[in-house]
Amino acid sequence: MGIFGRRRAPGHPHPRQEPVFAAPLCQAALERAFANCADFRSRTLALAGDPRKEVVLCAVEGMVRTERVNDYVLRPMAQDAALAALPLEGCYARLASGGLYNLSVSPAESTDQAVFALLDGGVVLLFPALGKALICATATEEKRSVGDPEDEPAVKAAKDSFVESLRTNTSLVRRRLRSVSLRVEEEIVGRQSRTPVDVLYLEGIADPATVAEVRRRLGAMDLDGVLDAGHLEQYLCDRLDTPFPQLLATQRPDRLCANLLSGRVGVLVDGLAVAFVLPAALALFLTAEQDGTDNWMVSVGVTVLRYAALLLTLFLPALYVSAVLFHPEMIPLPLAKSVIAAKEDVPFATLFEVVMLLLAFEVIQEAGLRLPGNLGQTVSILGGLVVGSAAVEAKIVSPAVLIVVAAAGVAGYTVPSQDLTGAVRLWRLTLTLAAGVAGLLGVSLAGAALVGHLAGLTSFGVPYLTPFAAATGEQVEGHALFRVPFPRTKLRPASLKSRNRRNQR
Amino acid sequence: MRGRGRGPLALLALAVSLVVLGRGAGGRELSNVTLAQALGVDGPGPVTLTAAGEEEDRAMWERADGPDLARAREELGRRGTTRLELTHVAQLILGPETPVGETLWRELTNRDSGCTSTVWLSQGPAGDLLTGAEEPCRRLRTLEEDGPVRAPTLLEAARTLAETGRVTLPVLALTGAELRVVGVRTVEEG
Repeated sequence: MGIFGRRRAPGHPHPRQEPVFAAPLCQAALERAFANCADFRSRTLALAGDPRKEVVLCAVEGMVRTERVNDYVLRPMAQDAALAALPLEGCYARLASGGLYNLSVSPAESTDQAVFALLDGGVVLLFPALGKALICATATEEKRSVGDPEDEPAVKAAKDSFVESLRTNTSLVRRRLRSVSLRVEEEIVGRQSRTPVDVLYLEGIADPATVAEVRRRLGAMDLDGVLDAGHLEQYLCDRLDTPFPQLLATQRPDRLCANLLSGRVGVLVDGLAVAFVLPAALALFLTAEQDGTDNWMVSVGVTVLRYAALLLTLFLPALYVSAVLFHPEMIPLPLAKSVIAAKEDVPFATLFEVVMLLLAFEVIQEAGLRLPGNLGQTVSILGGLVVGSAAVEAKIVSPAVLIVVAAAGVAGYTVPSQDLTGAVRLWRLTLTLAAGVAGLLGVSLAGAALVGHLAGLTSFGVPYLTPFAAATGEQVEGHALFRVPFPRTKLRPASLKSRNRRNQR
Repeated sequence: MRGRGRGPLALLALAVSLVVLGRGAGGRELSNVTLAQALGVDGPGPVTLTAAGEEEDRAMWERADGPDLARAREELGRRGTTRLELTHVAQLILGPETPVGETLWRELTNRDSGCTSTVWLSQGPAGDLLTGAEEPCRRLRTLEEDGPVRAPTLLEAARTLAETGRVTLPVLALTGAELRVVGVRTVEEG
């Protein structure tokens, strides 16, 4: 029995019909495919006004840009004088070879191809008399405009962020990396969603084995749809039995580009306003875009502070519980007196108090996140300040516990990655419970279990604790904690197995 | 068969519940506690322990007897309306009859004792010093910081005794209601 229940014996395969539409390509086949679809449109046209030269135009409304269909497809078919003089076969050849004004016009070979082109926003021109069809790219590009990266703000850095349109996102990358080495490979994932997923990497810099592994994992994804980040993350990551993230999600094109330059691989998904970066070891989740823009000494200071805050948020409640319950001698006399005075008249056990407050903190945080902007802030303030101080005054919790939990919670916000914060929150609770069972011994054992768990994780072959516990015996450049100035960071990280480690003269 | 394999999960849930409710935890709550700050030890056996502390800024003391140091400690913990914690004892006063080497060693190896508490000798019974003095804990802190003779810590005293076979300790006496250092005495092992 695994943590996800009993393993099931391989049963029936996920039924898959190949091809999806076996009928020959014709108007009736497309109408059957789109039966009961109010947004499917077909229109019979006469080329150059000649009723013998019949063409059927098919499109899915909302997916096409109407102006493009009118100007690039309908107008030339109606007004091109040359079409009147040509036989139907000649008209087909002329339209396929430049008579239409679209960027892309290609012949359709099968009903499947035509159906999926329609779903992608294309227009299909059927030539019933010839049994042929053309696909014209007329997809709409309606999208949210590029805005600020709200989840990853940075001073002295670019202000654009990824949007839900895949092509816009690849263009944001291309504008920064104007290199012919930038590869953008596309894979369609999801039987029903048919979501384009792009793999970005720099040829000659990224490890080909990593790229091949990403390709393999994407190719092996056989699911109904990729609608959110979790779908992709859970299929691409190495292990599922861990709360720790194994892919870095970023809203920032500049951050993705920096990682591509260091030899990592990026994954962009149509419909998601984030990019995934891999391989991603623990240290990557503790870096922020701001680190690169700050003075290197300031950056080192902030990074050290961030690591200290990570330890604080993980261990502070557990250490408090241990000290108060098992090792009061650790607490200096004046502080011990304060703790005793604060604990007086509080009816709950210390462990219960701490766990209850940790959970309350999570509840307030969730409530603040789920509510829109100002309302969320109000709930956080109301929950945090008013309820917190009222609970202390009512002697439901002791002020010391409130301070410990609040300090641990606030310290957790210094971790730049929300995915890592989630894992840390789970482990904080585990460590606190371990402290309640066996004091410092429990904390030590749970801490050792945490380190052991982290040491067992990998992200696309890169040990999760790189470069702290696994430097693969090679020189580490661009250290995780003590960053050296950029002019002296001449090599890409060894762990990424880049084919070209030197990044500057 | 659907329930098979859920036993470990149920046990885990039970353990977590017990811990959260405080039934499974082996720790002691720091509530309804008085912290003893000075401890007087009299006699080779039976042993009389006198603990002094401050409760809401008032001096308090408790006394307990036992056939040996460990039993006397247990007995002392049960005295009074609040639990007496000996984890923050900062001054250890040994009476004239107390076997110094053995007591130092037992205190040093005791889980609840800190090895940084200072060690003193008393001219009369150590318990009488603590019960007869006015604000003994505060006075002992003053003597520790600004007294005429520096008192060694428990660790220093035990180490010196083990290495050299002798240790010099300051001697306390009661003058009226005030504790004073009246000299030093060298104690030899055995």
